Amino acid sequence: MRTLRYREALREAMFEEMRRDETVFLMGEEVGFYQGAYKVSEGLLDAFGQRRVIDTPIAENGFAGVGIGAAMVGLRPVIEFMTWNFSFVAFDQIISNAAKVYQMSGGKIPLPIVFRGPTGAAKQVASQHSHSVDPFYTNIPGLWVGFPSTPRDAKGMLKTAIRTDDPVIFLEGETIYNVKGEVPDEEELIPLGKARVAREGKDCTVVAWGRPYYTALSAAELLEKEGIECEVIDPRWLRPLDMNTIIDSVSKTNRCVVVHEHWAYGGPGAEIADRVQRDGFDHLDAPILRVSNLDMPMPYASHLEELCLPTVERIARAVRQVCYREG
Amino acid sequence: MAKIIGLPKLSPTMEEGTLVRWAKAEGEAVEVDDLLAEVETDKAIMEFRSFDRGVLLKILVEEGTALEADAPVAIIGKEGEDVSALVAEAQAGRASPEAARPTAEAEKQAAAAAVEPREIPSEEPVAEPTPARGRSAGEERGSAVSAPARSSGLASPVVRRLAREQNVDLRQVPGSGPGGRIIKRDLEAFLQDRAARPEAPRAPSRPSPETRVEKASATRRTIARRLVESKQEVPHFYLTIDVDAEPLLAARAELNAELAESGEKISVNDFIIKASAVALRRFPAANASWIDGEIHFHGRVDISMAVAIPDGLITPVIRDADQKGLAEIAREAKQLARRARDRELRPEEFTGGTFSISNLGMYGVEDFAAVINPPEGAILAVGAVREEPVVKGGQIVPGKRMRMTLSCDHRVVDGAVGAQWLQVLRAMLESPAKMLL
Repeated sequence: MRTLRYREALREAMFEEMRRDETVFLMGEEVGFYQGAYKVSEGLLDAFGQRRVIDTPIAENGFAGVGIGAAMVGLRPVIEFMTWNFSFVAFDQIISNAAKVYQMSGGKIPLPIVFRGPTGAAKQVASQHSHSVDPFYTNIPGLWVGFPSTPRDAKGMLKTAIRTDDPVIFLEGETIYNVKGEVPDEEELIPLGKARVAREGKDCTVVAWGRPYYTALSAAELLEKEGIECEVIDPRWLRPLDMNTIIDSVSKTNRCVVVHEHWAYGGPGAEIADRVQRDGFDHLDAPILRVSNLDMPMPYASHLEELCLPTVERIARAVRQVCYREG
Repeated sequence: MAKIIGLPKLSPTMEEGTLVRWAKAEGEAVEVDDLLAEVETDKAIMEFRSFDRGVLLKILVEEGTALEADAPVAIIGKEGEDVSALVAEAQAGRASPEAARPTAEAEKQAAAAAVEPREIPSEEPVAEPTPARGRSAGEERGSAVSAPARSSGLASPVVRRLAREQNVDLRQVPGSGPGGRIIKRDLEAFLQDRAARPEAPRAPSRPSPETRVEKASATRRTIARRLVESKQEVPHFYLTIDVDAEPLLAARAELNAELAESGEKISVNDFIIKASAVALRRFPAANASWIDGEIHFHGRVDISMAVAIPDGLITPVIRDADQKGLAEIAREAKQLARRARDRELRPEEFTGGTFSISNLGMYGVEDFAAVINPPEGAILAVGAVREEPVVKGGQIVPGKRMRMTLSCDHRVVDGAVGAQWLQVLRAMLESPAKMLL
C-alpha cells in the first residue's frame, strides 16, 4: 500500500493504461504542455509524447466529437473536460452520438471512450461553474457513470472505465483532488456497478459520494457520540447502481438518508430513494430522507456557498429525524 | 383583538374531527404555524397549526371531543384580554368569520400535502420538509418523539412486516412516531413486554383440559366465512311485525283436511314461503341485490329456506315460489329438506336464491333476527305461534299471534321499503285468500 492523492491516483491509472494499451490516448484543454489544469495529467506528455497527449483548442463540442470518431475506428480515447461545466457545449456529441452509436449501428460499433473531469462546486467559482452534472448524465441510457470518492477507487475505477467498451462518464470531485488515501501496489480493477460499505453501523444507512461522502463520514462521527451508528455506503457507480449493497444495508438499519451534491429534483439521489422504497419497502421504519444542495443557483459569497451544500449539521439532523431522535 | 378559532378542515373530505390532544395550554404564547392540537380526521391524525400569533386565552373543548369542521375550539388574543363575551358567543355558535380564512388555507395545504408533489422545486429539499407537509416543524420541537402513545392506525412498513411475522395485533401497540405512527422500537418494546409476561395475552387461546378442540369442517368454515362477510359488509337493519295467525291456521287446517287422503300436509312455513313469494312479486323493490355497486332487481322470485343440517345449515332454493301452489311448495320443501339432511343437494339447488326465510318457531323461539345470505337483499326470520289473550272488538279473547323479523340490506332495501313489504305480507297472512288475487 502507498499513500496517494486522488489526483495522483487518477494519473497512475491513465499512465498504466496508456502503457498497457497503445490505443489509449488523452485529449483535452491544457492536458499536455500545461500539465493539466488540475495537474491530473502531469508528466504524461513527457512519458507518451504529443501523439498520445493532445492539447486542444477551447472547443469542447469539437474535441468530444473527434474523440467519438476515434473510438468508432478502434482507439480508446480519454477526453478531459477542464470542468464538467464546459461539457454543456459538447452535450449533443455525448448524448446524440456517444450514447447512441452502439445501438444505432445495431451493435456493430462499440464506443470505448471515457469523458472525465472535475464536477461540483469548488470554492467561489459562482453559479455557472459549480454544477453537479450527475443528474444530467445518469439520465441517459447508453452511458455508464462513475464518481469515485477515494484515491483507491479513483484509480481502480478509472482503469475499469478505460477498459470498458462503452462510453463512460467519469466524474471527479473538484475539491477532493488533494485528498490522500491508501492505494494498493498491485493492480486493482474496481468492477462496474459495485458499491462499497465505507463504514458499518446498525442504525441508519447513509448513501453518499463525492465531496458529501466526507461530510457524511464527519456526520457519522458526530452521531456516534450520540449513540447513533451510521452505515455509510459509497455507491461509486451512479449507473449502474449497486442496489443489492444498499438494500442489504437498509434491511439491517431500516432507515436511509441519501446525501448528494446535486439539486434534489430528480437525479441519482432521487433514483436511489425511489429504489430503496420499492425494493426495501418492508424494511423501512421511517421515510427516506435526502440531504442535497439547496434548490438555487450557487451563490458566489463563500458563507452562502457553504450553506447551499450538504452540511454535517443537515445530515445529522436528517439521520436523527429518521431515527426518531430529538434534535 | 381576541378571536375565536374554529376547527379547520384538515383534509379535503373532512366534515368532522376529534380533537385528540392539545399541544398548547391556556396562557401559552402561540406563534404562526405553532402546533395547537392534533385532530383525528376521517383520514388520519393531522396537525392543527395556528394561523395566528398571540396567546392561547381559552380552550373551549376538551381532548377527545368530536367536532364539526369550523366548530369553535379556542380563543387566541393578547395577554390579559377579557374573553367572556367571546366565550358566550362561541357557546352560542360558530367561530368568528375571520377563522374562515385559515380554514380555506388549511384545506389547500392539506390537499397539497396529501395529494400532489409540489410544483415548486425550491421546496423539494428533503431533510427539512416544510411545515405545509405537516411534520417536520413539529419534530424540530420534539413533538414527534414525545407524542403520547395511542393507536392511530399508522405503522411503518417494517413494523407491519414484523407484526405479520410475529402475529402481533398492532392495535395493541402504542405508537410514538409522528402522528402516532408505530415505529420499530415501539414494536420491539411491545414484544419484549409480551415475552416478559407470557401468560397474560396467550391464556385465552390455550385450551384448558376440559375444552375439546376440533378442526372445523369445510362446510363449517364456509359458513363461518360467509356469515362474517355478511355481517361485516352488509349493513343490516331489522323490522319486526306481530301478525294475527288465526286466519292462517284456519286456512291451513281446511286445506290439510282436504289433502288428508293423499297423506300430504301443508306447514305454517309453506304458507309463509308462498305468502312471502307473492308479496315479493307484488312489491318487487324488496327482491333486489347489491352486487359490485349495482342494484339488481330480480325478475324471478326464488326463495331460499334455511335448513339445519348436522354441522351447520344450508339454504335450498324453491324456484319461482310465487307461481307454485301451496301443495307443490310443501312437497318441494319437504323433499329439499330431506335431501339437504342427507347431503344430496347439488350446488345449483342451494345457490342463487333471491330472498331467504328462516323459521325457528318449531323450537319455541318467539322472535329472532337472521343474518342476510348475500347477495340476497333480505331475510325473514319467523317465530313460533303464541297463544295469548288479545283484544278483539273491545273484548279480551284467546288469540294466536306470530312474530317475524325482516333483516334488510340497507344498500338496497330502505326502512320504508321493508316496512311496506311487511304490510303486504301481513295482509296476506291475515287474509290468506288475498294470495289468490
